[in-house]
Amino acid sequence: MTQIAVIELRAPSDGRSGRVFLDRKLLERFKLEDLEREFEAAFIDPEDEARMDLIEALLNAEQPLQVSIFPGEQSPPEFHAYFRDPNDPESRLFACVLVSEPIVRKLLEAPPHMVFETETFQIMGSDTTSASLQSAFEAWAGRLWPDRTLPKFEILPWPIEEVHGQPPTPPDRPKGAPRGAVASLPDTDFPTPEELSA
Amino acid sequence: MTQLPLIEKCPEARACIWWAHGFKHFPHRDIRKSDTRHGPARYLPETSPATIEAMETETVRTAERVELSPGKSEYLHDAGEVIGWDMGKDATYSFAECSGGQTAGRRFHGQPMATGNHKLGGKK
Repeated sequence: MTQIAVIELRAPSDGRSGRVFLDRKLLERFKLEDLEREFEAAFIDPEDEARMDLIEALLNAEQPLQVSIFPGEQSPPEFHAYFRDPNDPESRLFACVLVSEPIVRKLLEAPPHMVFETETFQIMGSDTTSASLQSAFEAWAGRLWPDRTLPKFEILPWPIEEVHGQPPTPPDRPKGAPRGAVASLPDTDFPTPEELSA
Repeated sequence: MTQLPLIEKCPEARACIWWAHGFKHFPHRDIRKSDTRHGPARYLPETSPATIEAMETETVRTAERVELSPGKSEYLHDAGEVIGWDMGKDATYSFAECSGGQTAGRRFHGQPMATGNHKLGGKK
């Protein structure tokens, strides 16, 4: 199993922070400065900047914010977090993806064997309970806005029974009788329970 | 359209590999078209990771290389059908870009793209 090293990074230019998870063997190849440079370059996609401005406007309102969490479609799932706009509850604003440790381990199996936290990517432990999702989301927000007082986040997780898949819906009737037996009684003139107990 | 091997189309990407880009464009439960209004674009529900990888790889390998951002190798392919949502609209283009630094290596990822996306400039 890959031995993972975790390093806290801080972008030299603006102080934004995040972690890199990497195969320990890579520590011999890269300096901290290399990782920090990569972290800074990959931190935010230009097309996300306008949405981040909208999120900041929500934070500026200094009122509790609801955050809906939706599992992805893989197993185990990654979790997609959205702010709900208090002025328009039907409108959702993407915040970040929360990713558990088993997924990170899988990602580390492929080159370049390192995974950076970014503006939209937050790594959490293997526990994906509501409390852990809340904690991971708060860690994400604290990382992006380290110098401001953040509002209370009310996490609205997807129902846990749907995260792990519902059991298959039973069919209306048995699809087939065992060993070729006839599924219906050929003779309906059978005794009732009352007759049997008489 | 002439199909060139990846290495000829993107010489700097000799070790270019696909990655999920933090699952940012992956579908999730209860995804709605309106969720993409302020980004990010998303593939349609139930589009599997394998399908996403295949689609984006195909885009890099066969599509027209477009010059949209300095220093990046970007590719645009008209999928001919709706593959996802972007800016709250149906997206029929598959867009892929190859980028990356010295440390993490060069990788490509993609996304569905709708007509009018600023990344397309005046091209579509």
